[in-house]
Amino acid sequence: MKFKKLLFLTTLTSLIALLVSCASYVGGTNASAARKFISALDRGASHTRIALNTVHSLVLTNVIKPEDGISLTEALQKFNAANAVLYKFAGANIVFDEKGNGVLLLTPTTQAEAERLIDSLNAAAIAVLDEEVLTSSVSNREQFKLLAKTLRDLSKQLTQALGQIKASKARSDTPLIIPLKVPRAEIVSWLSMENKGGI
Amino acid sequence: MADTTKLANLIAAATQLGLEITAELLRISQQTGQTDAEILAEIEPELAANAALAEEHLAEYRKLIAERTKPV
Repeated sequence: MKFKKLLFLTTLTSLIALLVSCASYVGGTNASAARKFISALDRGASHTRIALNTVHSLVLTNVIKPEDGISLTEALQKFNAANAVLYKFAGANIVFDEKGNGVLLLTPTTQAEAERLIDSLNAAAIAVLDEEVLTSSVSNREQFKLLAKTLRDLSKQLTQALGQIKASKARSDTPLIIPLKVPRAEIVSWLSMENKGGI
Repeated sequence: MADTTKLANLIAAATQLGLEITAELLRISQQTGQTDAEILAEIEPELAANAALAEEHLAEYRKLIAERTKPV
């Protein structure tokens, strides 16, 4: 049975790695910065679902304990919540042309908000692999390191897309200013919860 | 849990993940023909579904723990 579990984990690792490599192809170098930003948010949502189902499978097959399943699922829940806040932020700050192509408009204030939200998303991704929380075997930790890395990579891609947007705005002679449509209280409340150890 | 049940769970889990990843690859390949607005619109339901899925799994794990600790 141990061999089968090992085979299962190895296969799973390969499949997730394949998924990550394929997903990274989306929004290649020619895609707009807004497209890359949206793609990274989209992948964040998809990877969270896959990670939730991976944890579920590992609990059902007794590879990890239900207690570990709870810890990991709660961490993924926080990542999903962080992604949801960033999604709302993006939705409120992206304008679309008649062809449906988006442009993320940033003021100095919204830019700072975006950076903080991405940092929070990254912190939530790191929390998925909390050594204090995860009490499974070494091989299982390795498995979850892959999941955590996948989630962390997404926040890196968001940061890169944001950097590209900032660079293109710096070249623009006509900076666009739009009001922040995301309820500020919601973001502040979320950030304050995060500072207390939750999201 | 009997070995046959474990094996059945294992196969079911691997199949489910395999199908899910295949569906994800298909969805990603279709995104090249989608506008930014269309992709963005698809994210919100997925985030909501994730939140519901997490709650469902948490309830299941708690039930498993309760069953394990139930006095015989």
